[in-house]
Amino acid sequence: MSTSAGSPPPAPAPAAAPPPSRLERLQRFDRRWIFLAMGLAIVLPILFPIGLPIKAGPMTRAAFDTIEALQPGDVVYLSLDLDPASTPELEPFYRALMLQLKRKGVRIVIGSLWYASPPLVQRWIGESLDRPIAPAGTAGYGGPPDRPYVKNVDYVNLGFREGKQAVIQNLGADLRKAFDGVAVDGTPLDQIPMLDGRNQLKDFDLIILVSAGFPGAKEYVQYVQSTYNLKMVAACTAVSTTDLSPYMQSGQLLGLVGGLAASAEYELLVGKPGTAVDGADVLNAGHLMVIVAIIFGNVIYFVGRRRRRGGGTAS
Amino acid sequence: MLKKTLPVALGVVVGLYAVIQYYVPHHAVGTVTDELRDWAAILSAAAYLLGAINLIQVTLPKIRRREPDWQFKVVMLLSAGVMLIVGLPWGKVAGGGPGGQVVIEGRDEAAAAAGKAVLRFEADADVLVQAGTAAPVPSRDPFGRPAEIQVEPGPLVFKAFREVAGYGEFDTDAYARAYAAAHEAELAPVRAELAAATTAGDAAAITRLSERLAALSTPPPLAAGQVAVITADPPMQWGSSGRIFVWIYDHVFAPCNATMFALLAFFVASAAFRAFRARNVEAALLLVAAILIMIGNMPMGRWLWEDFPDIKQWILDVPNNGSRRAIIMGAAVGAISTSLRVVLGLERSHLGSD
Repeated sequence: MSTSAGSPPPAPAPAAAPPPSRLERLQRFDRRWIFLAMGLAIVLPILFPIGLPIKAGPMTRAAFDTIEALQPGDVVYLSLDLDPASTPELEPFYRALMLQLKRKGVRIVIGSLWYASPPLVQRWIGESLDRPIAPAGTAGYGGPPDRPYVKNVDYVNLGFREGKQAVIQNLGADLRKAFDGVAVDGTPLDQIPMLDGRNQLKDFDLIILVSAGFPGAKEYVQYVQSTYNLKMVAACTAVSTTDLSPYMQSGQLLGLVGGLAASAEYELLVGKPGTAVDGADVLNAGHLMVIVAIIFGNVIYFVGRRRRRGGGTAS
Repeated sequence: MLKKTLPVALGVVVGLYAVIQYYVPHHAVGTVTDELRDWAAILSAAAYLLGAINLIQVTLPKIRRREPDWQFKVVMLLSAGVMLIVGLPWGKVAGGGPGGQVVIEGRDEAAAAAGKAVLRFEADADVLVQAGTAAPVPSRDPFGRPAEIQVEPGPLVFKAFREVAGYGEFDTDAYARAYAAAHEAELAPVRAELAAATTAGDAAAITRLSERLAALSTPPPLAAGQVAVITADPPMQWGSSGRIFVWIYDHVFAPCNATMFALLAFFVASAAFRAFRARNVEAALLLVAAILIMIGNMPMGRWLWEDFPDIKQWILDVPNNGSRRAIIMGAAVGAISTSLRVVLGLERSHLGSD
């Protein structure tokens, strides 16, 4: 393409921008490097476990002691309000809890308020109640063996019920009405001997809430705990721990197992280390990675601020 | 009138009732309260239906106009449709067999000498079998031979189920139902006689016929040395606990759901680097507290320093709980005042702008 004689002269090329300083390059750090570092922090401890010691905290210990105080033949109501996303944190607690309850001969009534939970709960029941978790000779387990639980004799699965807080209130007032009087397999609740005389939540010896969010442990405490003076223990994801810890302090929750770290503590208290203990190293490395990212980001921020204030340039 | 006054009046009546019922311990009030709670649960469930209709109303025009990413919306609607179809309880419409049969045959002399009966299971290799309350075992041994379990003589108690979820079970109850159905020809006249005796009020006949009915509809107990051959073929189920629904849940929904949650770790690390800066005193306090909580929450926190978990617990118990409590109580007071405005008819924004 040619330029005609009457056209204006081309504009002078802009002055080349100085190359970014090392500090500027760090401030524009490609976050994919952080993703890679986090990926390594998660994968490497799985491949090369360290196995640092774990000691139970007071809230986990309180939950364990409350459940350990149950007597053979007692009946607990277990609300499993979760979805697959929360299983890494909550499933280890559930399995340790089932072993503890079965060892003690405590009977279990299971319900759920989350639409995404029924297939998950059904599988868990098959693996942990219909079959033994720790039969005699289980490697790494020195406690008494458990036995398979019999459906509608040792445990009842009530299934899922939509209605959120309304269902919680119904459970507090009339368990049969809340679940239309039938278990998930269609068996009338009146034909299940272990439910004789158990018509509402206050008739249970303990309420155990395995809760990943809304509706869950917080709503149980707010809607029925004080009204019926219920004994409750909760397990939740790590992010919910700060939400629920006030209820632990006020005595409305008798124990709180918060997140994967507390699940690992619970597994050790029950005496059968599982996936939470295996995941403790990942938790260590992942948290360390976040702490390093925070410190690194702040170091860059403060160095940059000092230079900006001093008018200096980074090399 | 119908658009504004009636909804406001309903809100006032139901709202006032919800408050007053706490202070009136009469059983009639309790009955009405239970009924209202049922309505609340039904309304909550109905919201899913409204949600589905709304989803279609919002999404279909976008697909028709070929708006950006319309292909994903097609996938979403198709997925919702598939889950709806496979989640319906087709098995209840089509019916299904008992999933197996039991034949008492032969005699095991060794078991008889030991005073035991024998359960022999004929089933696919993926079927687990259970006698009484014993732990389930594979239906075939490593050489492919059917499992034989010695049990105490007496009523037959067993269960056969597949290792994967989504299939039915062939168990004692299913066997009892099949047994009763097979003896229907004998049971029908006894039932008719029982109905007549009940009408006549003949107590002795009622007792005799009830016992006869129970005896005819209950499978016979196993005697020592008897062998019960249990042929089990647990059938595939439909509906929300059926094989296809569970397969999609396990292999599509659960991994996607877990992946979305797992991605948080990467975004948290990235955000921690980019945004979590000690720009002022408050941010610095938050940052230090966060680091201490994280260290205290790490299993290695105690290994680094014995007191880290205690510091974490103090932060949770004192500053966190204090501020959480203030937030909870503030939110509660706010909710009460908003509810009062609704109950008194002062707040009408929830009725819409028309």
